[in-house]
Amino acid sequence: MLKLIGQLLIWGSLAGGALAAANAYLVSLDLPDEELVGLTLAAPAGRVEKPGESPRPLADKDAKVTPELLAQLRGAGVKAIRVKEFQLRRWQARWYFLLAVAGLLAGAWASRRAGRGRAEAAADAADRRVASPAGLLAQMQESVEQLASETSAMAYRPGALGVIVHELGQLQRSQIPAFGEARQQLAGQLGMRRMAAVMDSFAAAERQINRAWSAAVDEADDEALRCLREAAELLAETRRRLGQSGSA
Amino acid sequence: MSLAGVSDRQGGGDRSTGYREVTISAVVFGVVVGAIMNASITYAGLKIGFTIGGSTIAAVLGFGILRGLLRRGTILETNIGQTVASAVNIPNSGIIFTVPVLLLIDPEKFALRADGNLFWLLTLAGLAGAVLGCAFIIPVRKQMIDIDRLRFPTGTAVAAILKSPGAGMKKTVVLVAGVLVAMVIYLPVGLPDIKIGPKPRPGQEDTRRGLPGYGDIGWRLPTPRPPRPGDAADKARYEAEWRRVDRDEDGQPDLVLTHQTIDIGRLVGLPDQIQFVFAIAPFALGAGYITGRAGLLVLAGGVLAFFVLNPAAYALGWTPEHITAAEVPQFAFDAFNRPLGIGMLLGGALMGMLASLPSVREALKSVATGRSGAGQAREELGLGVLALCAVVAVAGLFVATDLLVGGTGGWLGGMNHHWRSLIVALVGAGWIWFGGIIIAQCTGMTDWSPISGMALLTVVLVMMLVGSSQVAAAVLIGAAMCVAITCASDMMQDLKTGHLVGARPVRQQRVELLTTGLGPLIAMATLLLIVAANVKTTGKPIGPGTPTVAPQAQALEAVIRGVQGGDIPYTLYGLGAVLGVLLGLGAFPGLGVLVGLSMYLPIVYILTYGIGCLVNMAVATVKGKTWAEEWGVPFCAGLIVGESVLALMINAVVLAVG
Repeated sequence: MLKLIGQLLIWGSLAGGALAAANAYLVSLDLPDEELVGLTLAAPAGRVEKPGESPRPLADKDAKVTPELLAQLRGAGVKAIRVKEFQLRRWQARWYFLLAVAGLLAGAWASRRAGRGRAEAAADAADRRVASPAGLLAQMQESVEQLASETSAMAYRPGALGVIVHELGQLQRSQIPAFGEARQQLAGQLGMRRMAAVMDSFAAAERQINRAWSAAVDEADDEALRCLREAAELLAETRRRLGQSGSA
Repeated sequence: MSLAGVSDRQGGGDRSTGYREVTISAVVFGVVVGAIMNASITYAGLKIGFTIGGSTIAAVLGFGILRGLLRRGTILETNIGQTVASAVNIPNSGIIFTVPVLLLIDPEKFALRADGNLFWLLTLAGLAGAVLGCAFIIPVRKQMIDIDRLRFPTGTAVAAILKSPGAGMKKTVVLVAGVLVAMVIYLPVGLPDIKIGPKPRPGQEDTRRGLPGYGDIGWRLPTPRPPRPGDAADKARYEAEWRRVDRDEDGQPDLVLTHQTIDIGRLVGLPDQIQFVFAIAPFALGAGYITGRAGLLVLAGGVLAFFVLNPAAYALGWTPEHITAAEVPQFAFDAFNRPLGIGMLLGGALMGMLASLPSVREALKSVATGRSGAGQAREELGLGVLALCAVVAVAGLFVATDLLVGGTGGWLGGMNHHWRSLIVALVGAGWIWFGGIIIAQCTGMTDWSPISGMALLTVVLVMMLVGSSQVAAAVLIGAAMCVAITCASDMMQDLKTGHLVGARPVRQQRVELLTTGLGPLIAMATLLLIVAANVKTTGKPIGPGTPTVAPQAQALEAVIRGVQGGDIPYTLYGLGAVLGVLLGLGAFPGLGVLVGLSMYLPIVYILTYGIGCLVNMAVATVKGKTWAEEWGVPFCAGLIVGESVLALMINAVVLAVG
């Protein structure tokens, strides 16, 4: 519910704020002449229609506002003109903009609070099942270590590299993206700095897994095996960093 | 055949295993392909405003040449080939967007000659920009790719191509199917650019017809019901409806399906002030799919701007009285959507950086050590090397500015000439750093890069510092900025590809830094040749009346003239920045960037991109997330590649037939 309120506040206030901003250079012709004379038009103003011709503006862009021009524009029913000079006092929608700023602040607060609540709920749920970030890491490390030892045992036998491609392909499709998606949850639980440290070594492990996959496709078995061993070490390092940061 | 000194494994590793990554054949392949693409895309860009990154094309060619012909390219070697090719190619878009502006403004004062200073100073600025773009963005790799895990759709697509040999026959078939589907969809978009018949003589109008495209199908809006004879009110209704369906006043209803777009809004009868038009762009569809759910925020921002803000401004009477409802989207885009969008981008990016400071600190610590785990080989180029590159590049920028800047106007008007140049170079470099991060964030999250917006702000900034008469100095820093940010976003795309195929970042960073300087040189040399040929045949260096009209430079020329005429809505930039900062305070710090980008881009591409995002979500719901990723990404990679390759082929034909 809080998330929905936050989102509504953010998007509603954004729409209001953008609309109010779009009004910033628009000056009402209800203002006294002395406040308007001397300004420069940022867009054509007014409309003149002649039979058989397309409508054209009464005053072109870049025209200086003069008392005569003001009289003509008011006579033609023009309510406001777009000018090049900005002045806070002339900005009619300034209070709406301020309101939008308050709405965005409230929306940000609500959405952050809802996000924290979701991260805690996800952590509680994760404690009860194997697909927690820590569980995923343990699974990945086990798979990679097992693959490394099997590959070294089957070295140079036909099919060994096919096994690496297949097994790592599975990891790339399932556990690796799943751990990546737990990023927000980790940030909520551990804070940005610790999450960054965990993701840093995880990404290095992921790169070694990807490299082992590429090497296996290219039939470079020594490189594939080396990368698997390095990936296992890096996953262990990631688990250590995660463990140091508390349970996740 | 590892390049001496490039492979730097410390103890064990791939030097001992002999796995090929950075090799002479890969680097030579990249330089040759990149140089050819650079020269041809420079010409095509000046002629029809078309530029592409080239990573996808280089990846496909890499397979053909390195793996096919030479029969020795590994996945990582091909990756290095495409990294180098795109690094050599990409700076051209920064050059053609900026440098020709000088020739449009004053062809005699700013004549480009190989024996003149201006040519070499602009080349030096481009070179400095290329080095700065790479040097500044490298330390951010860990943050964006490893920690934030940004998607970089083109980088992901290139990885899908590189991985296709091991991904199994079925996935390769899916990827090829994507390529073919994109080509079939895009062919009628590109064909009308190919004009047949004898070339017009210099100065003569080109009246040749293009080959048939979608527009020739003739799908038009329905004709209004004829009025009842003698019924004046019904006649007025008929005339009003005619005006709505025949905006171009050619005596027949307008096309629903043009060569490039399909106008659903007018077909279903939406009010004229609401623009609901889709670009026929398989690339945008594929990028949207690969981005997935996050891309919906871009779509939401576009909907907010074009379906809420513009119609509301029109209804409130905030648009000029003489323009029609159909002209509202374009007016609103120029008058407030675009400035607000650029401001939001800046504010959003600033907030994103502040929100990520703790993890940025951690990432930088890791970059400084160069390793992610104990005993691991060096993964990143050292900060010392990068700092040295940046200092040399800033010195180059200073020299170029010092020799070019004159006058005594602007905020720095009263200062000593050299101090003024130094401050301009330093501010320019700082701005390049910030701009590079913004562009990399944008391409990482969505694949779009708001280069023209950043160029606009650069020109404004420099003209404020040194006076609005100093166009050459503004264009010089603008060229450095544009080259830098295109290089920065390209490097991040390449590093994302590298991450997905297991490349060592330090190697990609090194080859990219060593070769990217070739890009500005090739683009400037090509420009020089084109200018010389144009002067000989038409008497003009570039622009209208020559075969190379330089559409992008004309847009920047309009901006410069606008700055000189006091047309810059600074307040809207500021208000947009406030909104961008506030949007970033919520649970997702990147929101300001995404919404800003969507207000800044034409809605036609955002809508097509949004369909891609929605299709991804629908497929994930029906078939599961893993299926959507496993089969959808190769297909969408094919869509991106197919359009890029076909567009390049069509442009080659356009250039050949003139």
